Amino acid sequence: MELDTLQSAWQNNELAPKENSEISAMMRERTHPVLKGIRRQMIIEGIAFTFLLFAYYDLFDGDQKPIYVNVLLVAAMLFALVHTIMGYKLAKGGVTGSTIKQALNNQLSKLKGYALISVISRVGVAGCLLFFFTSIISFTTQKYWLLAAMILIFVVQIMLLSGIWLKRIRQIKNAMESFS
Amino acid sequence: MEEVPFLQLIDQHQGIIHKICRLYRDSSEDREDLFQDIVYQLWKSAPAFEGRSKFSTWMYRVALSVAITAFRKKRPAIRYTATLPEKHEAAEDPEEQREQLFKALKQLDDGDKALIALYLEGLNYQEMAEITGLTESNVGVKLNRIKKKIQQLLK
Repeated sequence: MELDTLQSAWQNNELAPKENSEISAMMRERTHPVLKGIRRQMIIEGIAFTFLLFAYYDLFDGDQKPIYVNVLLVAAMLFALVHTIMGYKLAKGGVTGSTIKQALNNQLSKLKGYALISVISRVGVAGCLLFFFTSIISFTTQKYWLLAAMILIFVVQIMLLSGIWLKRIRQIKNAMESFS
Repeated sequence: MEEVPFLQLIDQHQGIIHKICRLYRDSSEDREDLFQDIVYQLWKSAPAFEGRSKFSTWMYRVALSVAITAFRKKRPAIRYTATLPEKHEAAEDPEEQREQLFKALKQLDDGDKALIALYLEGLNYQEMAEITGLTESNVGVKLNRIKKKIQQLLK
């Protein structure tokens, strides 16, 4: 196919046009597909954490644990909430920059920062939860094995999460090579 | 920018968004999500549009940046072969030609897709340099390489 033919094939790509009302709805934050998903996650987390905060004292013997252990549990929940809120801000922030090259650069540094926060907050949540639930346990061999299994699960989760972020960062870096 | 003139401009140029979505996403659901993301980000960036360049030039810059950086849902990967299936004769039907063109374009990496999209749209080197942040001579060098690759794929 000749390049002229390709150009005309590209330029005459007719698809069902969208109505103004449909486009107008797309301009709203509440209908944005990614933001909608994060908001749903925030609501679910909010409800779960509120319930946990009201119940942990009786349900998980919070009254028998030292105060700093209780503080750590609250810190774990806050880590998770702050992480979700920052994710929302990142998705909402959009792309900035006067050229694609600049936009990719800006997005890459934002993504790197958020990826770091994401992994640190997950480590924080895992550490605080483990500390809370093991703080007044008298360990037996069986319980040590159980703890080791839990730590392994958290480590695998954190590795998978890091892998997802590295993939996204690599994707942008690869695209940036075309603009260097 | 007010909402009404913005909507009119988007209406005039929405073909650009459709083409970018088709170029960067495989499923119709993903294209729809990207379309919405682009419209949302264009509206958010609209106050920064000072009218020094054409609306379509500005739109290409924002839309391509969003398409490259936007979050992609995990889907089964579609694998494209290094060459397109052999055909007995060149496609005559415009839709078939478009289908072949997009199949070839999808094999490029994200950055090259952006450059070739601007070329196919008929933008000159100066406009392409303004959008991408490359120098004009660099645009020329890179485009030649991409065009050769496309022609190889379409052989």
